[in-house]
Amino acid sequence: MSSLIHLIYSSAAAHSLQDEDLVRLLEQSRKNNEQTGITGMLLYENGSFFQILEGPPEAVEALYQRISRDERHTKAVTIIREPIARRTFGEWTMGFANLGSHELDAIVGLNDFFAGGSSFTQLSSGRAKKLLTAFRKGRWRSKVKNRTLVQPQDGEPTALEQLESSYDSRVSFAFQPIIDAAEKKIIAHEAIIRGHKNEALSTILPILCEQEWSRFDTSCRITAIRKAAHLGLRAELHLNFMARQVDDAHIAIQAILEAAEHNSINLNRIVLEIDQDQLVGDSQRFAQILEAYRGTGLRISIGHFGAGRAGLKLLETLRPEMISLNTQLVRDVDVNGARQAIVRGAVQTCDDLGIDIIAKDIQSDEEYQWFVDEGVSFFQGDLVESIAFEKSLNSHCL
Amino acid sequence: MNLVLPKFSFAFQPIINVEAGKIESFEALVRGANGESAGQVFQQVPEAKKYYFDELLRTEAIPLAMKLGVTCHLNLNLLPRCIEVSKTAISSTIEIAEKIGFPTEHIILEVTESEIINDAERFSHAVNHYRNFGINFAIDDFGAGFSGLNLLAEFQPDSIKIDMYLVRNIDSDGPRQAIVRGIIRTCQDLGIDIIAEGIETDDEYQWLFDEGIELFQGYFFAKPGFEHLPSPFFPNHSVSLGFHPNT
Repeated sequence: MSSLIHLIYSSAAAHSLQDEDLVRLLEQSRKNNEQTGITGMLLYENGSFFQILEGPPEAVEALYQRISRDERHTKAVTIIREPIARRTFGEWTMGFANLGSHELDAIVGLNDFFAGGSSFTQLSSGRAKKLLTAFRKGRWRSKVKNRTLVQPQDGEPTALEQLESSYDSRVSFAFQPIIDAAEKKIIAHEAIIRGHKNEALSTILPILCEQEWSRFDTSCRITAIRKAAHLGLRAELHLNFMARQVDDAHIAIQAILEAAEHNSINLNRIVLEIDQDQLVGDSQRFAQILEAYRGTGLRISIGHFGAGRAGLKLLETLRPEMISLNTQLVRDVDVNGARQAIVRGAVQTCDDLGIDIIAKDIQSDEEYQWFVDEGVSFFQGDLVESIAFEKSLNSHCL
Repeated sequence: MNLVLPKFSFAFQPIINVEAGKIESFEALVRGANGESAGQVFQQVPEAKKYYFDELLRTEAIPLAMKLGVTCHLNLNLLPRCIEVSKTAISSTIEIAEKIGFPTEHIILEVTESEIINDAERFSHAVNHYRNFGINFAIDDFGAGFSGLNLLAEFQPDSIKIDMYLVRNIDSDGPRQAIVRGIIRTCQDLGIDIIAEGIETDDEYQWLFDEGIELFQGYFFAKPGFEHLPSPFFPNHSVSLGFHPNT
């Protein structure tokens, strides 16, 4: 009987790969593998490769050498190389899955990803399967660095829980009320990320790489939703959306949907506050992705309106339900004619389009009063509650 | 130095005041020596010479405009970074104008919104000095993506040019209408003139005119004329030949 080994490794994609790149990669490897007797599977998720190669030792080693030199990968990490009794992926010259976090969660029913192949549950319970399970739990992401991965808990944590728990120990949230001055009530809370001791975001996290940002950003919203539910906040919930990659938006929003459902928060209570300057990619495409979720009740707010890329054009592309004015436009507006003119124009446009305006970070009674006189009635900021409510609601915000 | 730079010339496109029925200004648009597009010309400019070339264009456009008989305003483009790179970015423009007798108060420097946004305060500080010479400033492509709004808080130009994407089909596009109404409101409050550029149809023109815009530029009125000053079409007004500089 000829000897067999399997070699399992993870690596990081050198560049972000488009679907067609992956297809090409796969076609190439299938063709080669057929000739050399290699079988296995390749998982790709958000910049990370995880591959299982099985076959004759020489063929596997030679292929791995070639892969290591392939410029499409970096940081190849050999996870295991060992003899096996039989192939786990005997029928597959190279099974392949391009996974999102949620698809990972569904990996038990892996057959979805392999047209005509066996399902994951039918795999023999060897190490390959265990490693696949680990991968599913967030292990072996080569792109992830400078961070100790949280050990999977006993039981089967969902991908969401896994994602959340990996950052949960570091972050907490302050819930800042957004008030309707006309109605004198809290209409929403914005979940503002903080460290456990109320530190600013920048002080609690190491610099995150691009892919890590998206995961972190997604995990933050899940935590925020859970905490808001736990606190029993009844008003709307504003969540910051700082995803770096437009293409990650689907996954990020799916996670919100799930977390909301899990915590019994109706989606029409959730407002996504988009930070356009954090977003890399085409805003038209981003708008298309958002479009798919408009029917769920989820609403959109453009944050920092007036600054950077959060300009007039976005009102047309994203069609937000509300905007919050950039601090720079709010500060000293009562004595600054240029800011007044700009805000008046924005108010006019937003009135025409049925977009609510939130004046954020109000710091004086005069600023507040100027906005009230211009017909703006939604406010947010440390001083606003006391100004608008005459301190009556200050202690009730949470 | 000049050897590696492409040969160039200019086309001129009128900016008209439809209320007054006259040409308000001509914008000088760079072209190749044989009328090649601006894009083709800039492709041949080495990155290192970008700002030098930008400055050179202005000093060459003024004599040509003068020779062709421009007596109204003249819109010239300016890369804002040129001011940082070259001390003479604007002063050389003024010098040439003074030398050949083109009134400096007829010069309007156009700066693209997206290029100033990063440091509007600094830009404002740098250019305000030249306002003493009568130089006017315009923000080009206003509303194109980068937020022009904050920019207006730091720097109030004499005029803005509404980006063509906002103009396109505005007669049937609600969001664009709302955005342009807001821009008009802001600019009226700040005393900033609005030019609608890139007008291609009568419907676009009519909608903007009904909202009170008087200054227009676009194919609907006149295409850019290579090394000549084209006569624009004046809607709602009989063509006022008497105002044309060439007649």
